[in-house]
Amino acid sequence: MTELFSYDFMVYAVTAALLSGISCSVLSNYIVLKKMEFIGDGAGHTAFGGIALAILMGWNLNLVSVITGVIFALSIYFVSKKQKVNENSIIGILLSLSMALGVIFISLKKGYTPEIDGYLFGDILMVSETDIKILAVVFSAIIISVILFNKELKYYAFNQRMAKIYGVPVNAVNFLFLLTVSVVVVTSVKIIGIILVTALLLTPGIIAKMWAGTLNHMIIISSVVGTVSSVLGIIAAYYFNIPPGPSIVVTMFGFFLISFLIKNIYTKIKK
Amino acid sequence: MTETIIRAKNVGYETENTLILKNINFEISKKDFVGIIGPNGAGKSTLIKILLGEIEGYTGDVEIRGKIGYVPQHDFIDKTFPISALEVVLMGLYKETGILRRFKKEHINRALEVMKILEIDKLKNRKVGKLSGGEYQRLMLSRALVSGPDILILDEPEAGVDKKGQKLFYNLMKKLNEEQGITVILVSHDISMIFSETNKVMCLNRTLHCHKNTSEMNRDDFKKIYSDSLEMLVHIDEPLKVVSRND
Ligand SMILES: Nc1ncnc2c1ncn2[C@@H]1O[C@H](COP(=O)(O)OP(=O)(O)O)[C@@H](O)[C@H]1O
Ligand SMILES: [Mg+2]
Repeated sequence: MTELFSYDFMVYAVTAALLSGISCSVLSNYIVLKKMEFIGDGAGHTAFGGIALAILMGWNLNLVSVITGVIFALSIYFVSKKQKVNENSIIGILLSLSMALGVIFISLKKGYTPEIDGYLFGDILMVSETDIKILAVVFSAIIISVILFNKELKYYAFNQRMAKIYGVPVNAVNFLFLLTVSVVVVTSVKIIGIILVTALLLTPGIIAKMWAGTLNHMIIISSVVGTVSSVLGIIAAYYFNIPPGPSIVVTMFGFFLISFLIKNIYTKIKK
Repeated sequence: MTETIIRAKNVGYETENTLILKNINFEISKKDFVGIIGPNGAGKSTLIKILLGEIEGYTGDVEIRGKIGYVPQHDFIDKTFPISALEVVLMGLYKETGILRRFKKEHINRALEVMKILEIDKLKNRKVGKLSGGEYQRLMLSRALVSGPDILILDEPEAGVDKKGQKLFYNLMKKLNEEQGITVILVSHDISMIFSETNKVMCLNRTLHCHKNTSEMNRDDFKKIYSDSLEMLVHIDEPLKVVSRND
């Protein structure tokens, strides 16, 4: 086990997986409670267009993906505020548009682009020190926000209309939330991949909701799920020589299955 | 001396070229107990949203002199949402928290006090999804009352509550109105209750058809106002019942 961490890339891999895993897990609670399941998929797929453009033009990938994420968040926020178009409809449109543009950009680039696979399903070997720094900043921002704006986020998730009537600044919360999810997704794609990031943004919250009595318990349970599955997933990937992104997702699903079975047995016994 | 607490002058509202409300004029005095009736889609909830300041872009003037507490119309919630009854009531005190937005002991005590009066204090840690219809209704009322409003607006609060619970709820309204002097505005389909308990009735169907003392209003008036705009079923004996197309 100690030998595992004697490689620099493994230390990077585990650190990155933890930072992104816990960030996604904390956000997953609000996504599940607000029934915005589609948002992770949307932000992930939208990032693809930005990444492909950056590869084509040789631009800074991190910068371009974060900008793509911000544009995505802004578009959903402003279009859905008009209330003429449903939030999920816009996400669906942007998602396919960005994927289409991404495929066009890649086809324009002469020769083979091996990195693309890495972005689709994650490639933890690509994680650099800069990536870790970015992930650490995003992670800290999320933890601080959840502590400082605990109430606001809770009431926003519970009932947006009533929260607004009672003075909670729901528009600001809504915008910052969309923005955070988009940024977390684009900074997590190297670890988990565009296609798989949805799993991280849903499963921990779904598991936590089965057991938690309060939203804060939910945040704690989901973070533990996120931490354990990220670390276990990477260790499994190393020993079985399988890709880490999918390995994390499968581990997480394992926890979901166990949790689901125990919950069902537990409720049967209680009756 | 009756003091006006809400005044609406020529209020109208139109959205996407459909007329929702037109020519609404009324005055509500302090300590009034007002009943609002009207068919589904008549604009009752919209009028309330205007009073709450939720809707912009209406025409006319609305003047409100007091703090409003509000119980929404079937406020569908996720039954599995992990939030306790106490946390929901505290939402009503959010505006009163300081710069740091923390709930203090004083806020929690006030919330528990209201919950005690409405006999749901023992349920303070219960998840809202586990409350019965009547308990949930009193929870919504606790949240509306916790900040000490002058005006209480309830939009069809009877949903999911049995007849006995409804009766208790109306008595509670009456008590709040008479003993605490709270102005109550109640939207309801329970016309027999509206006629027996309230001191003013407003019949709304896009526009306000009448605004009189209940004693001045008789069944024929009522029939005249309504019969051309909705299918109405009046049981000539007791009780009076309106059935709209949507029911
Ligand atoms: N946001 C909206 N956009 C367009 N029409 C609306 C909107 N909200 C309500 N309406 C319409 O306004 C009318 C009045 O609705 P509402 O105030 O909910 O009636 P009530 O509460 O009396 O049943 C209905 O015809 C409804 O379809
Ligand atoms: Mg209504």
